[in-house]
Amino acid sequence: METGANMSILRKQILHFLAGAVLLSLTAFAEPAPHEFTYDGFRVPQPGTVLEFPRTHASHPGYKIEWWYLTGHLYASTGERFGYQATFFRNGLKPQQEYSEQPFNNGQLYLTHMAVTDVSGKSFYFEQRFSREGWDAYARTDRLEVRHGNWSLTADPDVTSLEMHTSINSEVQMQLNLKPEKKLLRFGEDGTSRKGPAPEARSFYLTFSRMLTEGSLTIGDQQYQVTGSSWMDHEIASNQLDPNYTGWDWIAIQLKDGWELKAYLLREKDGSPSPYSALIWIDPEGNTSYYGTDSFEWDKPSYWKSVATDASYPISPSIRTTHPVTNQPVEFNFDPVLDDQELNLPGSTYWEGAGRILDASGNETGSAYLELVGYAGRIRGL
Amino acid sequence: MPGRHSISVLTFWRKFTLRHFREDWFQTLLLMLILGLGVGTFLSIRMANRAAVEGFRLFTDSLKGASDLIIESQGDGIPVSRLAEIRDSLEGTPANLYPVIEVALYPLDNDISARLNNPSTIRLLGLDLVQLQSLITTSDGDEISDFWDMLDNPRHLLISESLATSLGLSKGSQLDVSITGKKRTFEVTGILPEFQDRTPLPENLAVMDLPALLNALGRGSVDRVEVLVPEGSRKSELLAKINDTLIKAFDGDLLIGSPTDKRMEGASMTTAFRLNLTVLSLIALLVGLFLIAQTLDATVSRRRKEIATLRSLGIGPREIYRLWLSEAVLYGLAAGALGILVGYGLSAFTVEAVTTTVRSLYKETSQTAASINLTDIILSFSIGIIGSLVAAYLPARDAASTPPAQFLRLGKRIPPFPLFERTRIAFTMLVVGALLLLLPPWNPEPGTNIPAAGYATAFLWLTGGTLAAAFGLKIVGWLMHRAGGNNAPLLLAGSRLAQPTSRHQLALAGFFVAIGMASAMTFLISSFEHTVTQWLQQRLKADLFVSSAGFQGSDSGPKMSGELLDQIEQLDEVRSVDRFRSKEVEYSGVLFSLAGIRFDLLGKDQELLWLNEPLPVTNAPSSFDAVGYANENFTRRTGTGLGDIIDVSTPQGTKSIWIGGIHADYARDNGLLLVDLPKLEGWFGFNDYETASVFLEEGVPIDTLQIKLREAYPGLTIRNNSELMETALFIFKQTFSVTKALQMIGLLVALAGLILSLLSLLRESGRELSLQKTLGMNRHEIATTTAFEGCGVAVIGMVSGLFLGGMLGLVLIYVINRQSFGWTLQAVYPFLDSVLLAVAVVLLALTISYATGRLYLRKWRPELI
Repeated sequence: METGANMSILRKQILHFLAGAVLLSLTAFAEPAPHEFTYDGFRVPQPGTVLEFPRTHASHPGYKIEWWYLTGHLYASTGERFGYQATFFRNGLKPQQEYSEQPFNNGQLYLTHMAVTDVSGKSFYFEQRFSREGWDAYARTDRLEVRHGNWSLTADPDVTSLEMHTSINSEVQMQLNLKPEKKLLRFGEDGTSRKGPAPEARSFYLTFSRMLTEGSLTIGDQQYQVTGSSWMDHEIASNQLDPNYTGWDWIAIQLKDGWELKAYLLREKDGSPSPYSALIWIDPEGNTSYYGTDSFEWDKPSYWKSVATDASYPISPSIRTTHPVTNQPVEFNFDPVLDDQELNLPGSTYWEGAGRILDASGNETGSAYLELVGYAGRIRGL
Repeated sequence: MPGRHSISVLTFWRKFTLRHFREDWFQTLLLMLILGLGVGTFLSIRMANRAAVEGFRLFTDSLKGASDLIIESQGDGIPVSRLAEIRDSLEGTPANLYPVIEVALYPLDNDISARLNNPSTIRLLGLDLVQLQSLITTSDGDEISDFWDMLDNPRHLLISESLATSLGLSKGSQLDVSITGKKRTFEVTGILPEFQDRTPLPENLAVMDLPALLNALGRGSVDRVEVLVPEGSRKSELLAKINDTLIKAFDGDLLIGSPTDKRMEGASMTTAFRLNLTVLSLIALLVGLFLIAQTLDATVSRRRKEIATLRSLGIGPREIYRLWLSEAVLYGLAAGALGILVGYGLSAFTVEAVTTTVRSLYKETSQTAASINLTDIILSFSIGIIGSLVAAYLPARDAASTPPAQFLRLGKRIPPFPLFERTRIAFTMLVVGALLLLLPPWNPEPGTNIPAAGYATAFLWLTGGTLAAAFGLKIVGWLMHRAGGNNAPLLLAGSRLAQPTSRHQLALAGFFVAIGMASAMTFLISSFEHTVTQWLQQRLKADLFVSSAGFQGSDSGPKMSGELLDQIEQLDEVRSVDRFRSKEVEYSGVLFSLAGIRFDLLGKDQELLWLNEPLPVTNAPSSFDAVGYANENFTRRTGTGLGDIIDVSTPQGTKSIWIGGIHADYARDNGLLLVDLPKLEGWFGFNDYETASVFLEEGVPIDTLQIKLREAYPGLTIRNNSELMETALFIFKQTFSVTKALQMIGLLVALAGLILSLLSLLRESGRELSLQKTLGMNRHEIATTTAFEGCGVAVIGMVSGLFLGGMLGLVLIYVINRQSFGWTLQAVYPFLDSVLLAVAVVLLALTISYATGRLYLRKWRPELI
């Protein structure tokens, strides 16, 4: 029985590999290679690029867009549950090769979002900052060190341990130590993650899908010692989204059995999912399996309407697919820990929040972070 | 039955009070206007004072909310390279840091500069607009792409909507300005809405992106870093932590303070000035109160038949008393309401005048619009009502206590108020007032001296003088009677003054107070102008004077770059250039100006007006860092004297300054200590200056060089000696503009009060006038009688008022002014002004009194007897 199952897994993996190889070769023949630079001089991620580590964890000001995106689920020793999101965006206005030491650099901008969900306190805290590169916001190009005001994300030279200091207004302060529990993932069969039909619509997409997290979280007068698990994406691109997209739904699931799953729906203007939407399985060893839109379903059974913005968000999606090993259908029902996890920010309002993953029987099988973008009007820059 | 009672009160009011208001509408209206002017003046000064203090808030507050802490350098700004160090010192503690440059711009286009609604400059803030981008929106809701385009434009400038309106500028307009004495051209790239998140923007505000302004100024430092702790339940805890962290990290290096400290500092610096204004604004009110008393007293007399009838009908004295007080309340309400209107109207002027004074005398402030609040409204009505009740006390008591039979007795004149008969009280008040002058000033906080005893003296002299002047009526009446001979009008007028009624006394009191206060202020202003002119003549010896265009005298005004002065100094025609630069420093809790001038030029090109000649350096103690020459104000505020040593903190450590001389200086009243310029430059490391004096080689034509320099340096203002004198005097006149306005209001109230008093006084003499007519006097003779009577009151008021003015003027000059501002002035009495005033008053009194007599007889009816 076990042998049969293993054979099935092997067959499946071979099929996936072959499908990937065929797709890659078809793509290679069907479309020209991406330009090396965008019209405004930024680099375009090239298929097959060999990335140099740990340098790649640092900033790449030659590329237009870059972000370090962390989400996590934290548990206090006293039983309280929290979720957090920390996003450091870098947006280049003028390409440059190295980190500038100018105190005010108009060529690079930093947009940073912080959010904390206090499940037992039924509260959601968030804050946005926006600065040009310089004395108060920067990302180093030689090692992972990103700062924005008092918010920072730093790593030791070999990126085996990361430190993050954040706060939200004068309500929340958080200090976390994060240790990757799995190897670094690089998404995309050719080393770049495709997000649209244009040859240049691709990114270098790096992920630590499970990081042991420890630290302290202070909310108001209450300080908690917390432990939990985090997910970190680092994406580098110059022109990855298609102008026909109106937004996206993105989810990062950490299952209790050691698997992770990432899925995203890139939504076209007519509401249909872009063929570049994907679902990726990550097994306990860090191996990935890619599914296209024909291999998973993303249902949106209900919507939550925001009182603040009147926007309606599908905050309880149900994702159905097949398990890459067992080939059995699986169902992941996202149950938000709090409905109102909307980041109401001028020009870029979206919903991003923590939730439980329930199987078809209603059993909790893991945790997830869900991001819903483009439901509260046009996102600035999209 | 309560309902019946209220109806009866209303009926009383209608029949008894409102009827008289209707019949004497002109008099009632004039009285209301005077009262309104009194309350309004007080209110407008209060609003102007508040606006002046409000103006000390940071210009940045309206753009990004009030800061929680301010980090400043002791020297010349915080180098940009240190910003990261400040951030790192706070580690993970949440705090938003906003580096700020604040400089003054002055439009070089004469048309535009003439349109500035105040003589000050435009305040230009350099702020990181990317950091504030989510907070700043332009009035036309510009797209974000415009925003980035704007940042790439090194000449961009955002201006407030009110500034755009007043200067006639719009998006795309070019503006030539002077910054640090250099000409720069900016382009208006956006208009900021008048309100930012419901906070009104200062009227003279312009904003530029910080890096662009740093480049434009060629600077590598910011003026301050403002710290804003985000809102939240832990804000106060975090604020305390941040304060402690910064102090620990930068103690002795950077100055950490709060905006409240800044505002308090500004408010405290101007306490004496604002208190003086408030006291002066009370004059008009005081005169108004005398007039209420007089009016109510007149109505007692006019309505005596009605009072007697009411008393005969069983209405008790208490009800009569209340009825009279209720009439006073009515006056008070009207005064309060009118006062709010007048106060609001006057505030447009007073706010600007007070702000101008504060700017030229103390420090740069933002122009803040006057606003009226609930407290002002309550205060206005309270002053009106309480003042009216106080004023109505004597007439009301008189009405209530006089028996009905006495009211009905024909020909009986209303007796004078007993209080006005008590000359002993009057003289006691005058003597006690004089003795109080020996007391020192009240010192509520370091550096602030309030001449409380001086104010008490003024009050006692005003009150005592009022009573004493009333005694003068009898003397003048007696003299007129004696001098009358066969002149019936003179005899009659004399006998009426010799037996004055309470209305004579009140009319005189109001007039006396108004003239006294107005002439005291004239005395002070005249002395001030004289002293300052003399000081300027002594001080301004240079051939040419250089400053950044738009410099108005405040040490926070625009400065000019030292390199420009270096260039001027190297010209062949120039013998020497002295430069002036001040820094605000603290000594034992008192903030003062530590300034530098070239000591090597003293006694050669430059002069100081010495109050205490410099001590020989051989008298100096063994160790000190510099010799300092203090002005009088400095020694008074800090309690120091000749030969003392003070320690001041500088970026180069603590420096000891030995006070080696005391000189006169009227340019600032927060204290000035001069040290040799190279020392100051070494301590603080600056290379920009407020003013410079240029001394030319013998035979160099001043006008030619002036023209040459003006062409070469369009961003500088280059004046010759006489132009500077004119400008300096203009600034000083502006400084005193509020005081002058109050003086004018005082005079206006005095004259209006005189008209009202005489009208009221003579109208109430109808019975006597009728009798004179019946006895065969013609209209001219009767009018001459009233003219003598009115003139007698006016002359007594005039003479005693001028005497009081002289005495109060001396108190203002030698006590109040010296204690408040620390300025010794030479007393110069304005004889010509006084004579002109006296002649005008006597002529006015003659005209009004004569006309009243004639007009009354036109309406004469025999049955009035």
